[in-house]
Amino acid sequence: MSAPEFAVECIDLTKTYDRQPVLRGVSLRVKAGQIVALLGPSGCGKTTTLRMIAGFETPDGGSVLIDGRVVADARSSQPAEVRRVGMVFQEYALFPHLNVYENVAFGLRGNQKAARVAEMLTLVGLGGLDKRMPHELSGGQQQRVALARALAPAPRVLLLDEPFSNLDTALRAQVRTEISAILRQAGITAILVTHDQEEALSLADEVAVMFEGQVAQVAEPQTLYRQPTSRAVAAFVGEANFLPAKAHGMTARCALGDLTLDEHASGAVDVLLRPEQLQLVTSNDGAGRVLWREFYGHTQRIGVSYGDLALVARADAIERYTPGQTVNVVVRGRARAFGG
Amino acid sequence: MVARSFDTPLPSLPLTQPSAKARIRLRLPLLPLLIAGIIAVPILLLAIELLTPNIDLWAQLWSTVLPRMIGNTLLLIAGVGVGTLVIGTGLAWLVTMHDFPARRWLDKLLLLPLAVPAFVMGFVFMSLLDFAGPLQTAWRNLFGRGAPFPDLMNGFGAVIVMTLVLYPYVYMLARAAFREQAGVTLEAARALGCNRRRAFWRIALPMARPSLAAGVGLVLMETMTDFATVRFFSFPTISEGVVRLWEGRMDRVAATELASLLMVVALGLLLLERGLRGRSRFDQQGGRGRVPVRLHLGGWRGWAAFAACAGVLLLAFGLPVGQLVLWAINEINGLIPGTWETVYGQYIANTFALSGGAALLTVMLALVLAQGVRAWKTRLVRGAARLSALGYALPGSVIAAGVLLTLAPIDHALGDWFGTGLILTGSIAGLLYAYVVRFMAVAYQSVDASMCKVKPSMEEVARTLGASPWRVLRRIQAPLVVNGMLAGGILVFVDVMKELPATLLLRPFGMDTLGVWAYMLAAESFWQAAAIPALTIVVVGLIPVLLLMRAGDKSA
Repeated sequence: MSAPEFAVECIDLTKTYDRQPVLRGVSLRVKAGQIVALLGPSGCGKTTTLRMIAGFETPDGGSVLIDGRVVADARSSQPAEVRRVGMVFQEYALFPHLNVYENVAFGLRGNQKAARVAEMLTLVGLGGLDKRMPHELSGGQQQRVALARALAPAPRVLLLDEPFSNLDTALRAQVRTEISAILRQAGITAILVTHDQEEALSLADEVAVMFEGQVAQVAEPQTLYRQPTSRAVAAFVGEANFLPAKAHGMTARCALGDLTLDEHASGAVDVLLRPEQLQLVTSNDGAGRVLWREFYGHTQRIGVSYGDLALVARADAIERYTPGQTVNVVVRGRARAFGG
Repeated sequence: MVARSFDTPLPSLPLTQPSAKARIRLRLPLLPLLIAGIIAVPILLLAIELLTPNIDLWAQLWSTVLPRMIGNTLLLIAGVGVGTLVIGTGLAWLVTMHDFPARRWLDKLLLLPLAVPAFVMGFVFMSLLDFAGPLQTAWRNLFGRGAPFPDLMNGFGAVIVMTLVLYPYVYMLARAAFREQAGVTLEAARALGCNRRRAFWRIALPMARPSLAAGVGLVLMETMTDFATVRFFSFPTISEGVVRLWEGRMDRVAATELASLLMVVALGLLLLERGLRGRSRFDQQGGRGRVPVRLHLGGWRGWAAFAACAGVLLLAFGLPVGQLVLWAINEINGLIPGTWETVYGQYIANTFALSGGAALLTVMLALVLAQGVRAWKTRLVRGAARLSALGYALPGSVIAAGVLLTLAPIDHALGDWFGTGLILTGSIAGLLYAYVVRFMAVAYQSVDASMCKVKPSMEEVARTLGASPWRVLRRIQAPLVVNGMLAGGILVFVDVMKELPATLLLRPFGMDTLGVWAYMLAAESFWQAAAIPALTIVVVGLIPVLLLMRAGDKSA
């Protein structure tokens, strides 16, 4: 039996609650060993999609395939306990009356349980904490136990529902790096639900952006950021300046001058320029004026008025900008055009 | 490699219908509603009784004992309410916000008086204050033969005794409230230029008001149910009147009428408590988890604080328990070996059977009720559950009267049809019924709290780990809820053991419990003999108090 190309496939999933459509034809394909993020605002249907893959929700229409086999469609649905799908919940859902060992061993049977638990705890860096109770662990440790527990029975796919939102900001970046390393080491297929674009872009091989029950775009993080297919996606995955322009072939003319486009376009368009594409050059007769500045340490954001445009630029931390100062705005890289 | 052989290809798995859910649901919440109804009936019947008063009877009561009973009841409520509020809040403020010798120990030990039933405290103090008792003897030795000893065998003494036993309810809730708010809010107040004293009056006390109201509410429920202590101190209240009419004069009609009046007072207090609690919440957002910086009390101030706590503890626990132990030892030495053990054994057996049966029954019913509220989430079920918890606010004698009103017609009907005697009112059934009505709230709260710990995501995660619904129930839900059931069971067990009025009024002939036995002996001034059953109740009553202390450890 040759391995199917996709570990998980969702085909045209639909779901309606109380006459309110939640999923309106969601399709998604996840290659084996990939980490895919479902990114979108709350209520976009990303969690419902995840719960359908897990087996907690049943689709009204469409189907879910795991390893090439249908596990759910409109007529029938395999119960969660036979799908071999691992799940990590936002609130971790550790069993409070079981210690770390017992939590991780919950999904295991047979005589090699202990070895497998030890292997998993080593993987997540919690070796030796077997006897601790969940309430004796920090938030980050609890999450790693939840991860070890989900990975222990070697699931075919791991599902993570907002896994970092219960951690405070300082810890979040660090835990994200650790979890990413663990998932890659385990070589597991994973689907992650998040509303945090930074989380999705930094962790996933591919990001699926969802709006209002539909997948708006699926792409690698960098493609998604640089070449979004709609204004909505562009604005959701990062800060965006939209400038009205007139496109002709590979160039567009706007208030900042002639820009090179990444694709052919023509007519009245809006061009997308990310803040880091705007380079500010101090100049006494510059047409731009600094309105405000936020300094972050590694970078800074600067608000600039340019004619009747309000722009946001991002620069490294070296230059010093003061409100009122005049600057010239130079565009780096290619702009992306959206038809008006 | 993986213990569970996932490497072999899975056989094609059976697909189940999406509608086939693990949970079985009935169309209507019949069972929960039935249970709630059965529990609520005695209370409702008594309320109806109130609407059809027997005018002659009331006129007669009014012209004789009633005004005094009402006056005494109100005085007792006011006295014990203020007393427990001051002592409970004061001690809680001392131990949460200050540091002094033995603070950590006193912090927990001050809960101990919860194990002592009020009537036990009452008869011990009665003996201590007796003319031949140690206090008066010491007084005479100190000030001479003719020195006037303050008369405490009255309402004042009853207030003192009940305040000493009941203050822990206020103490416990006030302490929790102060701990919760202490860290952030009080520091914010002090940063705004408030000194400690002002912070107490302006911030801590108003913020703790809901907790204090709840604590005093519990105290007054206990105060209202008591008839024995006030009888020892010759301070007849309405509760005492109900028992006297019923047990002494065998006038159950008058007792029932009076009980309905007592119910009005109890429900009035309940409403007052709800009103005082207001809409304020018990907890505060973002203010948890910080240990307050305690003010170190040095020198004599520290020892004064220690003396205040230790003094209360000595009076409310050390003295009565010490006296009971002394009496019990004397009594055992004076008895003929071999006979008293069988007598004692019989009482123990009766008590444990009743308490155990009531605990089991109440917890089981609470489980069905709590599960019903969870499964249906309708207003009807929730309202029914709330109604069934009302019994906790009502004195035992009121519930006894209500149970009698409910069961007597059924008994008569059965008698007419089958020629049976009083098979319900004259048996353990009536007593168990009263216990379930009285203590349902206790069991329900424990069971419900433990059910809240089982989040839906736990069930879901267990299922992704391959656990069948049955295994989820066995490994996840049951262990988590069993702890709550056990806790609720222990509480009901001990409460039933300490319960006096309903037991006294409804017990079948020959079914005497440790509590009834101790009360009867004490009422006849056989204090030494009463010590053994009384001490047994205190010792068993210590179990939940110790559990409470340990729970405090974990959260602190």
